[in-house]
Amino acid sequence: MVQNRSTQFRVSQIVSALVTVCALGSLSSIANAGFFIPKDTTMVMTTLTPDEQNYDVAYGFTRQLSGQFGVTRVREGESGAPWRNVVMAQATYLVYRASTDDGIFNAYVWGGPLAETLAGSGSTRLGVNTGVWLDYETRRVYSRVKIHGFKSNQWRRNEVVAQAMLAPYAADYEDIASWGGVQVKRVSGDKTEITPYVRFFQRNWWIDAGVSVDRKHRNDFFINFMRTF
Amino acid sequence: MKLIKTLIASAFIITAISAQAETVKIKVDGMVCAFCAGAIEKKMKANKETAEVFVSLENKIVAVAQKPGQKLDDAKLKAQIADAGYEVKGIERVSATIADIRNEVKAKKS
Repeated sequence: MVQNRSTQFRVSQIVSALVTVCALGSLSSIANAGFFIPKDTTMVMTTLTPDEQNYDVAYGFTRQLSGQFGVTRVREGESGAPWRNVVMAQATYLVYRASTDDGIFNAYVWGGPLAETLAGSGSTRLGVNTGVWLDYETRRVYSRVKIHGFKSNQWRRNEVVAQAMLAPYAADYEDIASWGGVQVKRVSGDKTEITPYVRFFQRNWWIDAGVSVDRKHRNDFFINFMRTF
Repeated sequence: MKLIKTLIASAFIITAISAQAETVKIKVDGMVCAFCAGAIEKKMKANKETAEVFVSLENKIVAVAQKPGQKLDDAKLKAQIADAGYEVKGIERVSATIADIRNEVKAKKS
């Protein structure tokens, strides 16, 4: 049985969320972008990898529309390459939701402006970012595919990210849910990165941690933290 | 006369106790993760009539205890859950407390 179901803004919540993001300081991804937020919920998320740090704050305006603001620092190519700073805003729209007895499927699209600056270039260029996200989850299985494009007149980046996770037990709301999974990430002009990782999730927070198995990225790791208010 | 007074007083006490114990038990579809449940719990807690909320993903239920002397509106609860993006499959009023429902869920697990 499949049912179609689609899904205010409080300045104080946004401010407190921003403060939390800043406090998370050392952690920080473009990988976060596109995450959909339920109505009246504020989310902060940060991811740290050696080549990318990202800080995001998002808020659910309606059951179908959320807004997000993010600051990202990304380094493309070799480790000595200059950093690129990207400031983004986006609106995410829940296009389709179907719930079954055991799970839920979601399809989101998003888009918005960006401003990017390559360190040392001294100039900032405007552009856009757009993407699509499909996910399906039950209490034991999670899968998602995300495609995200970034473009300014001097920079272009495309990411494809696929994630699959399994939970060894079906945790209830008050329990800590443990997940194990793998993330496959392809960035235009770079190799595909495969990263096994674990997630611990309870009520209004989760933390992910993983280490890449790819030779080029062998020393790469990522830590991802999410908290909702 | 004394007996009648005692009976009336008892009836008031029983009524008051049962009114306090009334809990709204809502069956929700699509609530599979803590992220979904958290959004619904937040909505329920925002109602001034709400005393306590319990969510079980396992049983797909959201149980909302009312404050004494106050009554939550079923239609409002349904609308709030739909507004959060989830579907209400059923709604009932039970005399069990949140603690009772929590214990019942725990017992089912073990």
